[in-house]
Amino acid sequence: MSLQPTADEGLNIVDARIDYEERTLLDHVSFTVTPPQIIALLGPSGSGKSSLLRCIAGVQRLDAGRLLWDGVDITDVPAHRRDIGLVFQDPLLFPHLDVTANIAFGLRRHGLPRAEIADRVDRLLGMIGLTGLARRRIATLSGGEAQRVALARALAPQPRLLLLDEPFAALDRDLRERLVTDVRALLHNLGTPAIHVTHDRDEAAHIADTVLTVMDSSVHPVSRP
Amino acid sequence: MDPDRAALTRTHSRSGAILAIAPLAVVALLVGVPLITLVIIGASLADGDPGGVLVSGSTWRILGYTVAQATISTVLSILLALPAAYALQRLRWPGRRTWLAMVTLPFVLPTVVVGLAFRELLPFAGTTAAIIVAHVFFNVGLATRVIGGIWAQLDPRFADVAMSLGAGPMRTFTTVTWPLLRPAVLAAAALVFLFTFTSFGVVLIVGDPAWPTIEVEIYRLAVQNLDLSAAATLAIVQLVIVVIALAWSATLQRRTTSERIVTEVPTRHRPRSVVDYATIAFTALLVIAVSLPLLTLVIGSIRVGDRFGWDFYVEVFAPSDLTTRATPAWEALGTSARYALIATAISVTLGMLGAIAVAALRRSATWVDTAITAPLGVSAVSLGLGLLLFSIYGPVDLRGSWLLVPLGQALVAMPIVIRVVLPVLRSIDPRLRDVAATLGAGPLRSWITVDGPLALRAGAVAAALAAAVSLGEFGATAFLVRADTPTVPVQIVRLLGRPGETNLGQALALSVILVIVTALIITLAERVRPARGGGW
Repeated sequence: MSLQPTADEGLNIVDARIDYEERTLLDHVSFTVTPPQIIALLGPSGSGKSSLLRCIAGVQRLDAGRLLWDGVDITDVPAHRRDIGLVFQDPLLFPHLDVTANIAFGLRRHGLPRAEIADRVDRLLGMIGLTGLARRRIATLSGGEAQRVALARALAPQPRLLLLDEPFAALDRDLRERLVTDVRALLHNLGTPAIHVTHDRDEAAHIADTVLTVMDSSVHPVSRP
Repeated sequence: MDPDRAALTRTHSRSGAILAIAPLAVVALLVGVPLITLVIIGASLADGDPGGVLVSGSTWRILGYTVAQATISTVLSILLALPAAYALQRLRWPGRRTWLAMVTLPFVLPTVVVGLAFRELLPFAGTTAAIIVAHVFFNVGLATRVIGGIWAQLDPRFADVAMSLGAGPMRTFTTVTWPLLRPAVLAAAALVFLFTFTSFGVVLIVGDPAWPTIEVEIYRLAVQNLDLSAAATLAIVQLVIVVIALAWSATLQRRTTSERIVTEVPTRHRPRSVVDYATIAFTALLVIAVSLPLLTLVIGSIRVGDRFGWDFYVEVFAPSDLTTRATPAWEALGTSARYALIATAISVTLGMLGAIAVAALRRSATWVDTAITAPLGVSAVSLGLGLLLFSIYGPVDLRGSWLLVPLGQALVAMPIVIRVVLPVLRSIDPRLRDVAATLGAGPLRSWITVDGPLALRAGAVAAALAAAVSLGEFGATAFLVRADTPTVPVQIVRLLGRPGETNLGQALALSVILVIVTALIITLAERVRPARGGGW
């Protein structure tokens, strides 16, 4: 795969730079994500992977460079108009809402009728294997359950791209392996492209079509194992 | 708390429980005795007409007025504090820390001084509006501190997630940030309400004499009308309302507080939107507004007629005038210093012991917490009146004893000591003590090595605050002070009661001196304050 933006389709990152407190974390970052491609971004902690995801999501600004979607510049589009989902290492479920309300949070904007929202939440709960937990309070969920709900919440508004920032790092090994398999299948079924940040080589190889690595303040391709 | 951690802390509770009883009993006794005396005397004194106070229409008018001014003051304080808390705790900008300190400053100022400053500054002094302005000035910093304390720790990724799900800034605030912040806002509101409901010095000086609040009425009944039983009855009514308000706020907070929102992720960002810059501008204006009254005070103290000079300061330190037999103003400074020293010693000793005891009692902490912070809501006027009644009707005749004043001040300062020390002690990971134990340290040595240094620092902060509070204390002192040995705040009020520019000037000069001393003490406290915990 090429690091130069070739195709117009999907996400194009063009010569991006990210600083952190006067220091340049990443520079000259250019790569593309073509749906339904899943990309893994490998790299040590503190290397700027998370910041890059935050910039793609729009909750942080690039210090230089541009972001394109299908050839259209989205660098200055605010996060809530980007249609890009974001899942962190911590589930960050809204503690004052129950499971259903968390998953339905992103559906409100679409002006969907109540029944349709309930229907979609049910289907998502089925997809993540948590049917029956619809009315559970967040505090009562296990770590694995909470992360599945976070995933369902991010997928509910049918984002054009899903960003996963070490979403399984806090889970134990068995659970992590199961979730990696499940998430890969889920994304393929939905045809949703994704960027998956991790520092685990096996996980990267397992979930992604393409693995990129963050090294020497930039992003480089890695040949498939 | 996760179950593993809970199990760990539980192991410390048994020895703690035994240790806790003695200091807690002393604390309870000291706060309880004046209040119980108040209740007994209020109910049983035959002279006067205690029941008459309750059925009197004016009592209910005073009560309604007190609640109304407190409610308006609270709502305004919170509304102004929200943007300031955001700018000061969520945004990174030059001078942030200095502005934070400045916005909090009014809260530690003596009430009498604040009252005087607003009487000088506001063209509408002597009205309800003046009370409200002064109350907002007093409490906006406190509200900023309480709300900002939680906001500073609120995980910013909640908002990031909401935005990535398509929620704009407005919806993100109303559906995510606000619900997470609500417990802190309610806590701040409850505190501000209590302080404005039981406010005394400010109302006495800037209020409308025809519209007293409960505190002022209690004072008037007790000191001017000498109707102690009516005053005591009114104090009980007030106490009941305070207890209800405290219980209500405790329930509200318990229902919504969640440990899950707190984060170690950096929460401050550079200003990036119009709203961000607007909140910073607002905060700057607020700080300027807050420093105006102090400026008025300083200018007033050096403006003699149509020129500037130190005349009033010279007057303060002038030798006593034998012909008028008036106490020279400077004597009040010595008296205040002496009383504050004793009050600080008492309140820090007992408060530290109480805090150590409560910290050891980790498991049953909820009710203890409520009980230990409750005195903070009990008005100084009630404590003062209670102590006065105890000195008259109690088993030991303490009438006219000088010890009553520092004792009253200590009772007012003690809850603050506990509030400062307790969170610091609680923030210590109990596993540190376990580690010390596995290394062969006995309970005492592990406490001294693990908790000791932090406790000492927190104690120093608490001592400084207690000293500042005692120096500026007026509510309790007003009941207990002897005519020939006034403290500085009492002397200021007396000077205000006398006609003439010289008396007013002396009051202003004394106020400035008091502010400088208080500010020095607080600055000292901020220097030794531990980095985490101890939010007062």
